[in-house]
Amino acid sequence: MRKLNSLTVCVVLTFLLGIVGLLADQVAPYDPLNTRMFRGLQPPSNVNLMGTDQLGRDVFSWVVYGIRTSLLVGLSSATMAVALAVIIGLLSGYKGGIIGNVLMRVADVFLSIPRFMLIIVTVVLLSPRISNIILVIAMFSWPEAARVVRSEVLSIKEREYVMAAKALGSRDLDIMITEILPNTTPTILSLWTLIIAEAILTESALGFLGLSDFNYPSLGVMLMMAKNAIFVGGWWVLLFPSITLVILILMFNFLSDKLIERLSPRLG
Amino acid sequence: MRELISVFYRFSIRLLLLIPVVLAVITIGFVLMKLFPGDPAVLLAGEAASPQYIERIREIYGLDKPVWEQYLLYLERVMMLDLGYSLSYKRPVLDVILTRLPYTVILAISGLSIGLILGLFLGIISAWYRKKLISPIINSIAFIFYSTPVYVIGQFLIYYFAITYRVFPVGGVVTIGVEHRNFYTYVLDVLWHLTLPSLTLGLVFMASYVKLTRSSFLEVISSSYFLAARSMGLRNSTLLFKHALRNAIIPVITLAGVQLGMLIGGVIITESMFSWPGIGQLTMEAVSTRDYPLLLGIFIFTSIAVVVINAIVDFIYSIIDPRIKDRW
Amino acid sequence: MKPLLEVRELTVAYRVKGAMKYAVKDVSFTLNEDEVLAIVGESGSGKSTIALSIVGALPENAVVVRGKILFRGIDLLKLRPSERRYINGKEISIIFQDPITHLNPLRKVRLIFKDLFEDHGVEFNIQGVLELLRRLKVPDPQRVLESYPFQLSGGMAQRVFIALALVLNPKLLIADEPTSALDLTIQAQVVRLLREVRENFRVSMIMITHDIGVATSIADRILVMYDGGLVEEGSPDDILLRPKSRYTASLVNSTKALYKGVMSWTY
Repeated sequence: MRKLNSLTVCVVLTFLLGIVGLLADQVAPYDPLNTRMFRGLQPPSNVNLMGTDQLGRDVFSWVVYGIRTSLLVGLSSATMAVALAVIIGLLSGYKGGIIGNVLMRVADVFLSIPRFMLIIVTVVLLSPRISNIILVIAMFSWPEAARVVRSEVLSIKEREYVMAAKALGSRDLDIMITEILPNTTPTILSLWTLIIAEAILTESALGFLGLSDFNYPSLGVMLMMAKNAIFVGGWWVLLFPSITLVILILMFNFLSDKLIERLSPRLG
Repeated sequence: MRELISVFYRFSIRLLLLIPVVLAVITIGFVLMKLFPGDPAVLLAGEAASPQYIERIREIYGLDKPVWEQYLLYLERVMMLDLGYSLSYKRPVLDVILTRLPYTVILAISGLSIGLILGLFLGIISAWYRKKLISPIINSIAFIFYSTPVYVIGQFLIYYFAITYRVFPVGGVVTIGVEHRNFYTYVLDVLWHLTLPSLTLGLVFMASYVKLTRSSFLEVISSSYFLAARSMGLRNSTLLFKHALRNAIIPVITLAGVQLGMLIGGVIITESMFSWPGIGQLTMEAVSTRDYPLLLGIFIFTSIAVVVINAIVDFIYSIIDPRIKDRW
Repeated sequence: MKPLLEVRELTVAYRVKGAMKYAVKDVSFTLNEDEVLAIVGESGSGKSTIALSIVGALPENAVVVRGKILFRGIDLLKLRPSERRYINGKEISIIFQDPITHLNPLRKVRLIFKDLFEDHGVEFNIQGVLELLRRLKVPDPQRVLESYPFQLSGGMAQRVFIALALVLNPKLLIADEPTSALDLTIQAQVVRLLREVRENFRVSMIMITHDIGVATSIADRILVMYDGGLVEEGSPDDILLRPKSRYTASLVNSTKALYKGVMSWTY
């Protein structure tokens, strides 16, 4: 009889959301971008489960597609960022030397600049297409992750089994892959989920500011509509996307915390 | 005397280390400028400019010269605090930025203070009473706030306190059309307008501070020196304030210092939500009016500001923390 | 002569991952005034747990299952923390292994003394502290008072700690492995110092150590512990020359082997 612990619940919920996102076409009753089907600003009803916004778009469908967009952006950018971070972190941590230091200096510069400003500037420069957004988020997420990976690598490097492998004459590449990488897995997974959470946050923030790809409904865009909708009583435009967004972000933050907790080998 | 010399030494070293980073920032700015679509001269002069003006711009910025010469020219201009000319405001970029800067600073400081105070308070309670029910409640609430985007918090606050209950204004710095007879009423009006935005920011920050304070505090409580202090029969208040708190606060204050720097460039969303006329809103204006010189100027300014503030915070630390003091 | 400290059937366990691990099993002993008692055993024998139980500094997952610790008639285990603090530091004090980590790194030594005085309602007597430090062979006590703990050497820090423990004239001083984290030469100094403390101050001591040599050079009586239980009790001579249990004998023999048969441990 498996214990119903919080981690299981969280993973299950996340999977469910993922499936909703994947099957958005089937789950959503109407085309979210269609502004001609319904009247504007209708409260939740049998026809529109979550009501409509000022432009007559069905909020429920928008939310469903919004989940898909968020997950799409989140997963892609996080995976790219983490992949890059792991490579750079491993190299600079294990090999060290000039290259390692230079890479870290570069990462430091990225970290000093206010991240969101940079993202906005870059998105404005390039056109706000979904692929650009994913790239930009990934580009500005890897430095911090790389730092974390590097410090992990540095501490693992000093452990006995690595020293043993070195003494036995294994090649650097082999050591990195077989000894160090497996031990950084909890951190890497935890970072990955954390960046997903951050990416979803950023993606919806861009949507809120009107800088997202119009073909991909973003939860942030609906919240931008809510900015005005609440003045005329359209509380549903604020409530439903908000709850969805918070749940999404919360799930990944939670996963990130728990992954590190559960997977890290207990010392002593 | 020796103390003074080491302080000076530490200050100059930090100043020196700043230079490469600032240089890197300026370079990135230059690269970005080169990446802007379209003819840079037209961009800088504005689309409605006359051909002669565009030519002049080309001369001034040396746009017909090789890239590295352009870079040096650019560097020179930035060093002389010339960040370009804003198209939409028809004023030097630096001017525009400096006029708006105080608003952002006020918002940043108030938001951070609220977050810090709330976070410290709740974090300590959560740690001190960790066996009681209140602790997981505080932690869960903090976690939820941590996962909530700033515009969601802000919108809810607006909905309840500005629309439904009409306690606070929806935005702006001062009530429009009101003549303030004296400075006092002016300040009150500003504060009234400041409440919701800084509260929004504060709640966002509170979440991360609660977490940090709690873990830092717990670490201190389980440390050897705390155990020894307890065994010496010290009073609870002494233990709390003179031993636990002082040590636990340090990482939190560090974070606050770093975040203050970040805030200068980053309160974009909050400002646009509440129509707060700071640098964040300026950024959005620049985006919508395609005022590239302004955008670039803001970017350079805020990045350098962050770097400088971080260096200052670092420097102050080296003076205060007795453990680092001796290192140099 | 009424005993100063009486420990009766003390049983302490630690809650580890749901299970109870017993660290101290049914231990009883007494300590008289002006007496020095040494508790000897290997790591995990429970000796530190006894010390922590006396001062009420057990970790959160510790449970006192049974027993009494009577100090001048009062059962220490029944005291609330607010009542405990009148005894800790003033009547009973404790010094730990690794003195530097046991002192607040961000607090000047002088202020730590000040805290101690003020919280026990005694006026801060700085001259007395300086005098005490001098007697404990601390060179330049003025400078030491103005330093931060991390600036002191191991031996110096331990002296400061001993001073903190003695300054309010306690009746009982507990030393929990006071020499283990120090270099050998410093160890010898600290042991010598503790012997002098014993002679010059009227304080009873409980010395907790894994080193029989240290124990025999300072104690009037020795308690040998193994796996939470009291194995043997006797004078240094009894323990060394006429060990009654096999464990004690092996303990003595292994130590003897290290010192190549030298019977008098000179410290």
